[in-house]
Amino acid sequence: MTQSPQPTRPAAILGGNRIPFARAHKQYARASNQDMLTSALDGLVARFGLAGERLGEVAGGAVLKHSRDLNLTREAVLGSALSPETPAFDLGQACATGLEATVSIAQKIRLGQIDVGIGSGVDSASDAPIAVSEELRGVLLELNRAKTMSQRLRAVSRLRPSDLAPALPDNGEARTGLSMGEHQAITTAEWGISREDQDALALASHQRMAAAWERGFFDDLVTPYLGVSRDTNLRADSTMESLGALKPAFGRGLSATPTMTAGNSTPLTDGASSVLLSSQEWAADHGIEPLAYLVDAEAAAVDFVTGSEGLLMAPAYAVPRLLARNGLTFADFDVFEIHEAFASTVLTHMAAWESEEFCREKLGLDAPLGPIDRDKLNPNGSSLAAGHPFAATGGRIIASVAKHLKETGQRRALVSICAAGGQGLTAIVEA
Amino acid sequence: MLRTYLAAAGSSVLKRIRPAAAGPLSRVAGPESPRRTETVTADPQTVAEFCRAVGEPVRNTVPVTWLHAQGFAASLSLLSAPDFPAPAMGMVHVTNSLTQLHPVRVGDAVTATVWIDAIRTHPKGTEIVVAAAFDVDGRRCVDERCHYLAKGVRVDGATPHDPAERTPFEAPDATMSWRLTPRTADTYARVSGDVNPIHLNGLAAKAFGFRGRIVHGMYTAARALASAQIRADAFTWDVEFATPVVLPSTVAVRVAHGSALTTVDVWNPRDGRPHMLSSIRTESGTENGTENGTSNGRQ
Repeated sequence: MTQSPQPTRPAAILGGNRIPFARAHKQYARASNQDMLTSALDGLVARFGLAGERLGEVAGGAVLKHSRDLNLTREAVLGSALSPETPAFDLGQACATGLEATVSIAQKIRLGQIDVGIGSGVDSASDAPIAVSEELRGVLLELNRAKTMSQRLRAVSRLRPSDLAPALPDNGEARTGLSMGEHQAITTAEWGISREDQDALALASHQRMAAAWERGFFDDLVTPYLGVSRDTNLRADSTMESLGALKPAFGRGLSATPTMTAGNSTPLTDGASSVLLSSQEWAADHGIEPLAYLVDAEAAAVDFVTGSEGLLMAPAYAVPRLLARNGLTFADFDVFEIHEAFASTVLTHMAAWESEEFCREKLGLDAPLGPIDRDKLNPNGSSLAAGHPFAATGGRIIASVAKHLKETGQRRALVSICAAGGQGLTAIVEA
Repeated sequence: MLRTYLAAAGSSVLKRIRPAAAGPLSRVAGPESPRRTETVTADPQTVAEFCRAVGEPVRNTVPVTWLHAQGFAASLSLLSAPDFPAPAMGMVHVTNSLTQLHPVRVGDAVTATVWIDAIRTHPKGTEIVVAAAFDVDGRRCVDERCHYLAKGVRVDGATPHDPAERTPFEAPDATMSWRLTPRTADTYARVSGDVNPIHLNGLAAKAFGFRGRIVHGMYTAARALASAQIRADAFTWDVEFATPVVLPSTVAVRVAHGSALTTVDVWNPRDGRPHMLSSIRTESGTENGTENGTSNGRQ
């Protein structure tokens, strides 16, 4: 039996809702991932009148996730005002989790599997899962398997007082033991990204996001939570001087002068986000005008373990493949939403796309992709200002950029998110 | 194993007081020297525990570092034999060279044959070369040479030998960072059977001149080999131990992959001094380096 490929249909982005992002161990310290995700979903339900609706599917995830939260998104759905008959699934791609969740829902809509769904993500760096030490875990499991008293005694005899200390999640890469900041510090030094450029990018992020809040841009994208009504990391009064006064936080062990500070790196943040997507028919039936469409996505990964490429450089590889598949160049884009894990991440990606050598040697291109107009970059600020609750960042960006296209009448946006494990996910959003 | 160490310690003390009777060295070293042979089954559970401890994936093949641990007790007992001319305790593992011809699989019955291959002069004392061969069903799978230095010990009749220069090292930027704690040594001692007190007891370590407990050199080497993620069936692995890692420590690591040569270096990020330099060659034809063995494969 031969099958012709099924025709696809556009996946519309109808809107989004998130809770304001808050720095870790502050206002949301006692809220769990499930609490925050449920709140984000309920805000979306309220905004679009979805109470009691059975949606096609809800996708979501968290990076820092407790093992008991195997069904985090489904539990959040059950706790929300959505119909309990709405199925949900969890997925994970480190910091790209939220975008991958949104892309998954979009693709199901494009294929006709579902008519409407929600892409979501949440992370709490405060309510972090704490585990027992590997040693204690080994002993407990050994005890569980032991059949005789002597086996039990042998297992227990391995235990030392230090084994009772709990294990906190750390931000070290599993295979290298280096933190993400230290990895990026290596890349920053390799590309010679200056402290001033990084601070300027951070400043622009704060200023643009502050302006967006001021003009009410986020009013229908954010629902206040636990007394917080704006992203708490946002510093509208940041200056080059205040950013320049900060001491380097990463790369102090490298031969190059360290340039990465707490000001041009994202802080640990708590938050949740959600994006509502549907077919055009579903939107019309419900009297909702789409903001934009999620057109295509491309993931990439790099070999960072050996140091042959930087940990967060994967988007530099994903973007040219995405452009080629869609027959587009940078000139075809009005907006570039590049997740600011660190200011230098954005700057190294842009430097890579401008570099003839990189584009030829690493990407196999005849000519560099070219420069990105800074006015088109992160027009409403990004993670340096908002903070970065890992899995919630994708939903924040997609909802914001879709609304930005609608508001400005612009046509096309490129979205790029780097992720742990040497990965990156990029997407095209069109009006 | 602890008993072996106690015996080694006892014989070492005796040898300090009354050196072993002089006799032809060919009785204890070289082709005619006694062989210790033991057959062990690579029990999947035991091998898995070892793999978890050193960062190897739990697979159907056995890491060569597990095989090394199986030959270790035999080598220690040979070195502490009454007629062996140097004290075993206090010997320093300086280099290790190993060639895998075929992988050993879990469940295989591995026959380990261990002997003293050579006793050679060294500018700082005497170098002892311990050989180990690992066979499965009569087929040679792995060949190993462990080079130990008995500092300040002179042995009459030792083969004149000029050891290879130490590989020069200048600390590069690290690609990895490992946190090593006393528990690292506890765990490695448990899975490898190497309960040398310098790894497990602070006082014992100080008695041997270390600032505190030091991690097993072979742990560092095993973790380095695991980090290199070599998946070739045949390879040659050379290790050069430079300075011990006093616990607890955070060490800097760089893995560098070439077409046929992978290097993994481990050093102290504070002063840039190397702890261990290693290289893995996967090309055929370079495997005879192990027979002479002191080269670290990079010169």
